[in-house]
Amino acid sequence: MGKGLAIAKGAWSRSSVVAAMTPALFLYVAFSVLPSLGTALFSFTDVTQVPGKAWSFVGLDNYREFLFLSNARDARDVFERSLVYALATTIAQTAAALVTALALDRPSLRGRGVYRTLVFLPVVLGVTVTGLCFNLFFSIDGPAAAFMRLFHIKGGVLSDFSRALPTVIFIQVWMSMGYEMVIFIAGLQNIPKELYEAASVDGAPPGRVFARITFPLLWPTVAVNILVCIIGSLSSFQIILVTTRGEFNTKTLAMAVFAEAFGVSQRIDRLGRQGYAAAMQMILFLLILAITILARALSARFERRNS
Amino acid sequence: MKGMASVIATFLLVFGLVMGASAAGKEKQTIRMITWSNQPTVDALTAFNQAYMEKNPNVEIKLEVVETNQFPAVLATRIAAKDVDIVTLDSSYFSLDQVPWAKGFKMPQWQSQMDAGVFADLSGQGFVKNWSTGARAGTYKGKVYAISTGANLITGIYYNKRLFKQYGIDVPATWADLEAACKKLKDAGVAPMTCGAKDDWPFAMLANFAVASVEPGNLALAEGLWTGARAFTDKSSLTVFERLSELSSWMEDGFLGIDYGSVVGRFVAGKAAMLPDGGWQAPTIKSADPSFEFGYFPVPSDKAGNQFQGKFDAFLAVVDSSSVKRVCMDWLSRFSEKANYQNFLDTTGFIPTMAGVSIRDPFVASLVPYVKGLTLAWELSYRAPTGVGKYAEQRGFIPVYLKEAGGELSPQELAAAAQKDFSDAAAKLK
Repeated sequence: MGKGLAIAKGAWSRSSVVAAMTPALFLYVAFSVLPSLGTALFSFTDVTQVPGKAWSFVGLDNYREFLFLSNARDARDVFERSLVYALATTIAQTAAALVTALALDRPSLRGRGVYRTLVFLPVVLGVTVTGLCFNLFFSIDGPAAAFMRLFHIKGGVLSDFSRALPTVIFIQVWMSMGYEMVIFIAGLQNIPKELYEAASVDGAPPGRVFARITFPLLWPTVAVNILVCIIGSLSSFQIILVTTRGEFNTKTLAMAVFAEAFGVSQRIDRLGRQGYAAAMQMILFLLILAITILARALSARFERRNS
Repeated sequence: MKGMASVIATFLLVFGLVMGASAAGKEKQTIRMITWSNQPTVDALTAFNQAYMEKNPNVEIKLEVVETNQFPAVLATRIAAKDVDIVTLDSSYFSLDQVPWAKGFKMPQWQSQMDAGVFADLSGQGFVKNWSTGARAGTYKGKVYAISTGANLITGIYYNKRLFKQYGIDVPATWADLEAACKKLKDAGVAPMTCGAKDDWPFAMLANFAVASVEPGNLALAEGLWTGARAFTDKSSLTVFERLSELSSWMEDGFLGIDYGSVVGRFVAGKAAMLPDGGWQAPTIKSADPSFEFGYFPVPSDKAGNQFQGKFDAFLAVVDSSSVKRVCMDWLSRFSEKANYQNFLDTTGFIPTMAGVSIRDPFVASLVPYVKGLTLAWELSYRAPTGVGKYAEQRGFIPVYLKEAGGELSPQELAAAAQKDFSDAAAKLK
């Protein structure tokens, strides 16, 4: 017994832990930390996508150009749209995932494994497949257009200034909701069943059970999901790129960074000014950091009030 | 014994060297090419590549075709990764690189690439003298960096001859004629026009049409915007916005959702009577339905006798850092031979940029009277200041913001917005 304990203790010695973490740490540093530091450094240069073109350090010129020299209206639109996109996606996605998780966590529901799989399937499909499918669905000859014609509704969906952004938000939520649902289900399953039994004995209605037992105990999971969703929606551009390429009032700051870095939109100069794009990315990073700090502060305050 | 060993060793050494040299001589060399998804151009290049590979068995040519609206980004990535040897370029105002009146304009990617020496200088190559306008168009700062394989007309409108005959419409000679024709078609329940607007550039290209119909001498307008002599809000420019609005109102319902790849099919199927598009689309229309009867007329202005405007197109350039540059130059040299270029022209339907070749395509031949020296289209003259707002980007006259196109602005409001964006950006550069 003592020998077994000694062996068990040795298996978890500090050096073993470090050795086990090293490969993951290496990958994290190589593919996350170093590129991020690189982006920060390049934001002070005029590097472009053009090979062989000499580049130099330009100090704060890129930041100055984005904040003061570029069109203020367009920059403000992009910021506002990013916040609207993040807020709408976060609220809709979290609410939908929570409701779905509650519905699919009931032990009495037959085939809940199948339903969970179906809800999770869009996560597995990937951005390109999802975007292409919705492009076809909303195309001029697609089912959505045919349905709209029945009600004499003119115009497109992804090619309409007023409909494109809500549609992209819907697609984002549809695509990512399954991931949050899985996390919520794990959180729900950690809530002690005895609490529900006690509530049942006391005759508490379902609404009160949710408000007094489920939600408070699930709050840490909710907070994590909200934070991940905010960060993800502020920094994602992929679904926008595949569906609208940032046109029709769908360009968020993340999409603008990608478009600037790789010249993907026909509306902007196809220069691939990556130093300038890096500066925009740093501004986006600061925005995400500020919102994350605020969200954590609000979350902690809510937890303290609950406890 | 020693002598025998040294003879054998020497024989083996020589044998190995000879075999190694032979292997190196027979080593396959690969040319990586990239072009955009214009099917006739792809077909023409594929046919030439096939013939070239048959004559040069140690050369393999890989032609990558990229969707047009993704081409600039993919091209830049391939060049940066040194993953391409011969490229197709569409920018064609190399001769207008000197624009002293536009200090601080947004430099296009091709210009940065040429300044950085991305493309090989072809000036000293023997095949350059085969080309007439093809080499001149590809000259930048006195050196030839690319060869234009053909000129294309931009400001033309394809029309369905059957529908025109059915509704008694003559080919419009003036803008008023075009308005009348579109009204007649609309009243009959026929969409006057269609456009692959989902890809953005086919719709944005209509700025060339609107400017050509009002101000054929567009370079003066481009310069005037910078010097203050002209404005987006003056009477002539306002007419351009109004015509853009009219063009938008003539498009079929939901045109903003039509991608460029399917617009020919819709035109040929009779979903719209007209298709404003470039001359490069003609072979595609013909191959979509050989029995489909269509014509092409220049966008009319207020007076009859209009001319097409266009650009030099489909430039071929060799990447200077290519590891197979010598083979690429040989490829380009063979391409520049009259017989090979003739085959290319017959497939693409381009207007020739080499003297002494025939226009065999009847459609292209029918356009010759309208082309008396190629006038460059508006998009090649306009320069946007760095940091300009969205209403004055790219071609300046941007139709997608107009109410008739689903946007929110009237022509007057868009003109004012474009002028404000242009002036604000230009002022910051002073």
